[in-house]
Amino acid sequence: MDGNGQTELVEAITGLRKVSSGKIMLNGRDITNGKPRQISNAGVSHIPEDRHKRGLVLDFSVTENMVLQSYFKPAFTRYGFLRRRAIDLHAEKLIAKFDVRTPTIYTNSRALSGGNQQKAIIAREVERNPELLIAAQPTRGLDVGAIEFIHGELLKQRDKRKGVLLISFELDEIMNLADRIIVLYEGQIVGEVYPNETNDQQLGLMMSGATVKLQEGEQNE
Amino acid sequence: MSKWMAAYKSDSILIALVSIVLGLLCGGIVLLIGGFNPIIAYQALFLKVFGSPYDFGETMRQITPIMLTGLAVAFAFRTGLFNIGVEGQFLMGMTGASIVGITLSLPWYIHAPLAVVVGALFGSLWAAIVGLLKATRGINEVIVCIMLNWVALFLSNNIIRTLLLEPGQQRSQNVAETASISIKGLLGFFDNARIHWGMPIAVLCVVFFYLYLSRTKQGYELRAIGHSPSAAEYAGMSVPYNMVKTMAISGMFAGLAGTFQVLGVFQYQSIVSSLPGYGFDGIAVALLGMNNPFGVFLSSILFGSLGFGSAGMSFETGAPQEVVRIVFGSIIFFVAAQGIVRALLIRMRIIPKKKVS
Repeated sequence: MDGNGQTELVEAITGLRKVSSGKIMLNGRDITNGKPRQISNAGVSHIPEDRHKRGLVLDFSVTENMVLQSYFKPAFTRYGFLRRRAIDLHAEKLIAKFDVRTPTIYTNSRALSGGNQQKAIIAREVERNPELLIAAQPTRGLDVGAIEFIHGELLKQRDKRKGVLLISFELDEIMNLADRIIVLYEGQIVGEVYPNETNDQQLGLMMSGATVKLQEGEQNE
Repeated sequence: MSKWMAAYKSDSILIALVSIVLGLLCGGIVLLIGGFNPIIAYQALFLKVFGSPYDFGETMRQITPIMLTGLAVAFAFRTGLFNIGVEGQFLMGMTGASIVGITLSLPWYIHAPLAVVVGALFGSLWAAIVGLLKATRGINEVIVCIMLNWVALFLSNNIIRTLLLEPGQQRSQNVAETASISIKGLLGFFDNARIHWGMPIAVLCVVFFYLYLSRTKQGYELRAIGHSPSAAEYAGMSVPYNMVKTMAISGMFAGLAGTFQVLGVFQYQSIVSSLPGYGFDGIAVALLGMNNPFGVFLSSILFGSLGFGSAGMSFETGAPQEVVRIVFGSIIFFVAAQGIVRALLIRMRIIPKKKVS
């Protein structure tokens, strides 16, 4: 259920919001209050909740959006100039690999369907081979095909023994994908369960604050 | 293909031409109603712009500052900022150039470049104040810009009055010969029109604008912020830092415009009682040019030619300045309202309906 601290949690982990107490560790490294870029370079990928507001620069081409998190790396920038050939090739590679349906690689991202926009974001974030992938509402508003594709990608990350933090309001999605489910209610963790030991009723009770109220799944390892 | 190549493809050129013709027609009707012969009037306009080497040179002189102020406004727009303070940055640029040009005495190969750099820097810093206030304190840039315009006006007047005054006149002393950027070799060819090095530099600025914004890493960041600050933040770009940078670069263009007026055109700086207006023209030029450097290049040529040519028009036909202004306005109107012209041409089946990809 929205509004119990999921958005804030993600923003805190990714450096978009100040952490006032507590520590965030990534493989033993303290990344608390790092800048968004430091955290992202440390191996955190983030599929934002709002793909139009944060995930994509809608008026950029698909190609330009594919390097949104890596345009500054030597592979794409030399002497301060963008290496357009390398960037184009990178985009072509990702579009083929993740089956992003776009008329051309220079098409405005705004013109793509929601599913293809999301695939483009996932392509960009997964390709960076993160230690931790944060997926906030990755399938909201998408068609069945895209949802299936995205679930597959999340599971692949898990199978590569990378961390995946999935935040979703779809109970089915959580139950099907997560290895561990953590429920937040009014900003507090109210419970941690395993999908094979729980059911919708129990989760529902936790989410409503009967010791619990929100759903969020976390798969580690 | 980049976006602007597409924007300037065949359709757009046709639309631009039709717009200009429609504007001329409308202006002609106004002239007829006023009892003046539009043919003679337009002939005079054309002759005033291209008629003699002197007039052609002076037209270029008119185009140069608004090309630069247009770039200044357009650059800020691309990062999502409205720089309405080009006026003030222009004045600060003039002042910076005057101070260096008048008070120092150096060999020409240092003096002129130094004056240009200092002028650009003055404009740049003046604009950076706006960026800094917006970035650190969230103050709306429009308000700060407008207020700083007046501060710049009276500050520069004061500097001239106290430091650089030509005795007995409302203007500064002339800048040293070594700081002048007039192109002496071409003065003969253009019949003493005030041709200066600022003209090629303005064109270089157009190229710089394009290359910087679309080919460099920093330009990528600025465009991302302009389109979507939230996504830029997500991508780890510093929005406040880039705001200051944008304003500084925008102010640099504005400062250069002022600098060239002092070092290239007048050779002195007047004490003025109101804002010179180049900055506001720059807003119109930038909008007309769709905030695209090549668009600004073309629209500043249109603006400058009309502005300079209109003098010839009222002289030849005796039409009062007001009527000439209406003609001027109707041409700009049709060029700016391209949507109308496009819709008209589509209806007449001259250009195909745009396919939705």
